[in-house]
This record gives sequence, structure tokens and C-alpha cells, in this order.
Amino acid sequence: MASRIRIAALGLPLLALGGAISWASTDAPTPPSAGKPKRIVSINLCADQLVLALADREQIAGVTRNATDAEMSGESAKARGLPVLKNSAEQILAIDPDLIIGMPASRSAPMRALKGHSYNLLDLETANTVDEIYVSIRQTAAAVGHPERGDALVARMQAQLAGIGRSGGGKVAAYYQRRGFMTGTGTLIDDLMRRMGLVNLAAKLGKPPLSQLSIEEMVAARPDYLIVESATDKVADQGTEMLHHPALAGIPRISIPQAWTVCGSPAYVDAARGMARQLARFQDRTHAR
Amino acid sequence: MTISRPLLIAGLIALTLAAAIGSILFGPVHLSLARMIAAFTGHGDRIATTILLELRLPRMLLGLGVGAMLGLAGAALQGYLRNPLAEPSVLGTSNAASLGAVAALYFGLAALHPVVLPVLAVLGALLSLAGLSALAGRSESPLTLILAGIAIATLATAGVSLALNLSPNPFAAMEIMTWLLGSLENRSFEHVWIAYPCIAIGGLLLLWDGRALDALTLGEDGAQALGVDLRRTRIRLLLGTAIGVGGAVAVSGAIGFIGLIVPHLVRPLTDRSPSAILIPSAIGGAALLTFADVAVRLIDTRNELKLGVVTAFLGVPVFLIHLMRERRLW
Amino acid sequence: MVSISLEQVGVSLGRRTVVRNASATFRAGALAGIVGPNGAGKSTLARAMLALVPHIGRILVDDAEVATMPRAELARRVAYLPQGQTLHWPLTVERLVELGRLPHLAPMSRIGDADGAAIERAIERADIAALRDRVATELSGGERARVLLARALAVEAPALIADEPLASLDPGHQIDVMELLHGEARAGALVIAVLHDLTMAARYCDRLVLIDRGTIVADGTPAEVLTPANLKSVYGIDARVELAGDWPTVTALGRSR
Repeated sequence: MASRIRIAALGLPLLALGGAISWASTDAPTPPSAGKPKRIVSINLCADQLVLALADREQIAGVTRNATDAEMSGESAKARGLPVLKNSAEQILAIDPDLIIGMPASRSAPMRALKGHSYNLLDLETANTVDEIYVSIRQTAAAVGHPERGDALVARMQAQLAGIGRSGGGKVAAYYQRRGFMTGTGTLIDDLMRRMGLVNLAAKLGKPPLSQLSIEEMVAARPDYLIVESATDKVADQGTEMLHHPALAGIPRISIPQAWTVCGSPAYVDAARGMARQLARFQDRTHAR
Repeated sequence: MTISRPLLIAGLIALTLAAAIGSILFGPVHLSLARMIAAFTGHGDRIATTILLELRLPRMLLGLGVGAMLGLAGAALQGYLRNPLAEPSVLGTSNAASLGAVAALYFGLAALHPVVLPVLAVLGALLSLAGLSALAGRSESPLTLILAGIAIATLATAGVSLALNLSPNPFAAMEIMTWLLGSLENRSFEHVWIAYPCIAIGGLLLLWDGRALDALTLGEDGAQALGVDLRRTRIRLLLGTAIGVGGAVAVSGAIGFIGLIVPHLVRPLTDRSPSAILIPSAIGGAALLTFADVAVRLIDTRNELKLGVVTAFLGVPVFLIHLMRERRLW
Repeated sequence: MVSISLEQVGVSLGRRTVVRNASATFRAGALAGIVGPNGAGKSTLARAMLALVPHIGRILVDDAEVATMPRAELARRVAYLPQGQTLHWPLTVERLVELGRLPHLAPMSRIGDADGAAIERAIERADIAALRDRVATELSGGERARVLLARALAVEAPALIADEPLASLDPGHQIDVMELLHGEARAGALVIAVLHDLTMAARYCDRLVLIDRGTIVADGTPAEVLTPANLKSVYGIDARVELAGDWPTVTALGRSR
């Protein structure tokens, strides 16, 4: 009888302690308009691009692993020195961010693990056209507390893009990746191609947004240009070896770093400029003959 | 059911020719017969010519060469080891050669010089055969040899997976299936120049010792008493298998069972002596692999089927038939 | 005339010394039998004579040391019939006998007329003409023994060493094989047979070499070698030796105490 009372006596304070802890750990959501966020966490490479372009360095508390990889991230220079996150809910908990940006953020794996807590989340949509990029820029700029920077960036991009002409002339181009994967319509690549005045081979053949085309079919289709990721210029595995098959040697190539096209970001302008420049060079050669 | 040797060879060559023609005729792009003939006589349009001469022709040549080498190696190994289940993939040689090739490609060594790839593949094959000798060399029991082969094959397979996962290239790991099951997709003449010298040298070394293999019917003592230098024979066979299989695997990945099936199918049609099945196995292997390569192009799947899948479906029944017939001996 | 001489020959297998200090000379025209208990080293000695195991001392075939002789050369001079009837592949009898011609074939040549004639002679002498097209692995023990002997005869070497040629043969076939070996010796060949059966050995061999635990303990005619004293010390048996006609018959009575 006495032992049972002793156990209860121990138990009650423990219960109370537990209750206090769980109550204290539930954050009250920070009201969005209460000043600029000071601890911004990005959990997606494409979100990284926008955050790095629009927020102050001191505001950024975490970017993804690939942000510093020059091959995949257009803003890799800016990302150097910033804390890098793995895909870990623990790390996010420890930082206690006041803004989490993802693509999306709310349905991502780390956030599902943190379901009990409520954070300020910004869900960005994948941008498949340049207008959608502008929308994402404005959304991010507002969220990080610098809406004027967003407008300025959009204006700058529009001006630069206006200066790039349509030199494609209706020619057919195919975006060819490792192992013969080809990008189709409704994608950012397709948007770039149409801006250049190029016809996407995938559209011509009625292929889905991502399909595989064998070398034979590519030879038979005979596009005017092949657009490839600059990383595949070097043969490093069988996937890239395929792109260097002699049968494809006759087709002129435009090479664009993946860092400029994998995300809807300000690097879209770099991609457009790069494509235009290479197209112009090919056309000069044709005219010179 | 022995048929005369010239008839057998002629029949097998006819089969091989049919397979080769099929390999040229079939592919993802449909080409009319008229266009093909035009391309071969030099008047063809650019597309047909490119497809036939730069894509299908090297692929056909590799199907023939790799198939011939695997068939020959299987026949020679069965003769030497006096074991009807011996062949490069069962003994782990093909997978070890794959490991060498993978090490060359994915760690940047192959970029140093084109010869590095086949050399490392041959080295892998050589090491596995040396290991096999050490583990099961003196044993007369077929079981010991097969077990040693399984050990080596498993180790090499694990090595391939590990190497691809550790490779600095993030896309490398997706290519495991090609290396472990084999594929002739997207090959070019560059691969023909890598493989054919190795296959030629390996084939020559293996064909040299037909007589010694016959003499081994009487056992090692009997063969030596007939004048066979077993040590030299062993070296030639090991080198021949390693070089030939290494060169083949460097361009096609590890394709299994050709060396097992073809000698078994060919043996009842000959006088059953080990030397008599060498050349028929080479020709038969060329035909079988090329037919399998045509099959993977005709079977419509999203990703092209790997060759090793087709040969496995053909080879395992042969394994099982043999197992059931010989069950009492195990 | 070919001869095989052993001069203080020793053979070790692993760490065990199996044969020590063996000396003997074998000449053509006689059938010599090597007899002794199990594990005495009879087969090992035979194998050493064919350079199948390394030896110390000298083994000379026609005054040439076997260890340094090229294998093909040795194969042409001494034919070998191994014990055990090993046959790995289901060859036809004719194809099997053909293997005997290997030592005489030039590197890339085929079977010639001379080889064909030798094969025919061997088939006839071994009396297997009726089995010519049969598959060798499907034959009975006796038939297989004769076929393998024909293979050895096809070499037409001046010397022949047969290791336990009577194993698994019935008395009738045993006599056939011994008659054959005896006939070869009479025709001028040097024939050495490792034998288990003392009576057969005594009856057909012109000379016996008795080996016990690796050493030659007796060398002479069967009557000289197969004495009750020798049989007791080497085999550990009490035996009655009777002379029946020209050869002694050995009857084992029991273990000697």
C-alpha cells in the first residue's frame, strides 16, 4: 500500500514536467508581417536559387546540399560558406527557422516528420515558363521581406530577355540527355526553345514531357540541333558515351550548363543568352559558306 | 546422332548468316528493303546509311564476335576441366572482367588511353581464373569447382556494385544492370576495335590445344603420358580465356550461359571429343548471341531488355536438364 | 632394343618417402611384373618411370634421363596404361583408340594412313573389332579394359607400362589381358605390369620385382621371388607355394603370427 503511494508521488511531478515540456515546445506561429524573417531555411535546390538571389546573407540559416555544386546550382558562388542541410528534420528543428521555403515545403518529407510543429511555410510551384518564374520570384521576395528586390529582378530579366533575338528560324532541336532521355513540351526547356524560335523535336514527334529516344530514331529524325547539358561533353559513363556515338556526330550541338536549366531561376537569362550565342555562331558558319 | 563435320559446320554457318542478316534488318527505326540495299551499294540516303553502317553493323559484328568467344571459351573450359557445367559466367570470369572494366571506366582510368579498358577487364578475368585454380584446381569433383565459381562470381558482382556506388559519377550506379547482365545497345566501331583483337588472340590460344583436351579424356596422367605438356596447356587456356572473355566483356558486359548452352547443343552432333566441339561452339555461340540480340530489339519494352535476361531464360533449362539427368552423381 | 634402368631411385609424395633406393634394369622381350602389398609404392614407381612424378636418382630410357626428355619423345618410347579406367567423355571406341596416335602426330596434322594401320592392328590384337562403333563409356568393365589396352597398344611404342590392368576383370578376361601382354613381350616389346594377383603374375611374368614399403626386396624369376619366407615378411601371410608346370601357385593359408 505504501509502495503504491510512493510510485504515485513520483509519477505526478513527472507527468507535470512532461506536460510542461510539450506545451513549451509547441511554437506559436510567427505572424508573417512582423518584420523580415531572420532564419530562413530552404529545403529545395530551386528554392535555394531564389533565396540566395533575393535575401540578405544574414537571413539565410540553411540551404540544400547541392546549392554549392557549380554543376547544378546557378547561385553556387553565393551559397559558399552558408550552412548546408541534409534532408533531416532534426537539423530543421535545431535551427528553429521562422521561414521554410520548399517546392513544395508543406508536403515534403522533413516537414511530415515535424507534423506536430507549425512553421511559416512557403510552397513554391515548379516553374515551367518564364512567367511562372516571375511569379515565384515575387512570392519569394515578399516572403523574405524584400518585395522591391523581386520587382527589380523581374524587370531586369525582362529587359535582358528583350535584347535576345529569336534566331532559331523555326529549326528543329532536341534536348538530349544521358541514356537518350529527351525533354518534351510543358517544360522550362521547351519554353526556352520556343523563345529562341526553335521547334522541339519532342513536340514534332508527339512525345510526353520525358521520353527515351534511341540513337537510330534520333538519326532518322535528323533534328537541326542537339541541345545537351555541358556536363555530358565529357564521356564519364555509358549514358554519356551514348551521346558521343559517331552516328550523331553530324548534328550541331548547343551545350548549356545544367545549373541554368534545372531550376526556374534568374539563370534562365543566362541559358537564353548562351543558346542564342551558340545558335548565332552556327548560323554565321552556314551563311559564310 | 553424329552428322558429318562439314555438314555441321555448314549448317552452323548458315544459322549465323541468318542471325547476322536479322541483326541488320531489325531495329527501332523501320527501314524498307529498298533503302537498305541502296545504302549498302553506296547510293543510300544519309539516314539509312548512318543507321546501317554506324549503328547496326558494329552491333552485328559485336554480337558475332562476343558470341563466338563465349561459345569457344565454354567448350574449351568444359574440355579442360572435364566438367560439363564449366563456362565463363558460371566460373565467375565474366563478372570479374566486368569488375575490371567498371574500375577502368568509372574511376577515369579509361580516359587515359583507350587500351586501358580492355587491359583492366583482362586483368580482372585473369585474377579470377587464378583464384579459381587456387581454390579448386586439384579437385576432381565437379562440385568443388562450381562452388568456387559461385564464390568468385558473387564476390565480383558485389565488387561491381560497390565500385559503381563509390564512383564519383552519380549516374554510374544506374549502369549496374548493363554490366552484370550485358547489352550491345549503342555500340560503335570503336568497341569493335577494342574487342576484336582480344577475341582473336584469345580464340587462337584456345584452339591451339584441341589435342591436349582430347588426351585429357584419359585423365591427367594418361594425357601427360601421351606427350601433353599440361603446364603449358593450362597457361594457354587460362590466358586465352582471360584475354578473349576480358575483351568481350569490356564492350558488352557479362553475358551468361552462352558458353554453357552451345557446347551442350553441339556435342550430340559431333563425335563428342572435346576438340571436335571447339569450332562448332564458336560458330554456334555467334549465332545464338546474335539471335538473342535480335530478340531484345523485337521484344517491345520501354528500356531495351538486357541480353543476359534472354540468355538466362535459355540457359537455365539446360542447367536443369543436366541436373536431372546427372542427379545420381551428386 | 629398348631398356629402362633405375639407379637408386627415390620418390617422395608430399613429405612421405614412397619409394627409396630402387635399382633395377628392364630389358625388351620380357614381361616384368611389379608386385607388393597395398601402398608399397608400386604405382608410384611406375609413374616415376613416365616422369609423372619427380624422382631422385636416375631413371633412364635407352640411356636418356626421363626427367629431361621432352614429353612427346618419352611418349613415343613408353606407352602407359593408367590404373582406374578413367574416361571423361563418351567417345566411340574407334575415336578412343585413335588417341593412342597422339605422340606421333605433327602439330597441325590429321590422322594418316600409317596411323590408321596402327589403330587397326591395335583393335585386332585386343580383339575389340566388334565394339568399334560403341560408345566407350557404355561398355562393361571387361570390354572397357580391353579398349583402353588397345589405346595403349596403338602407340606402338617399344615399351609399355600397365598399372593394374586386371582390376575388375573376370578370370576369363584376366587371362585374355595377360596373354596379350605376354604376346607383346614375346614379339620384342619391353612390358612392365603392376599386378595385385600373385598367381597371374607368377604364371605369365618372366620376372618379378617385389616391393615392400618402398624398397625392392626381391628381384628374379617368380619361383625365386615368391617364397614362403618372402610372402610372410612382405604380406604377413602363411602361404603354400606349389610348382604347377612352369610357374608357382600361391595359396594363402592365413595371417602369420
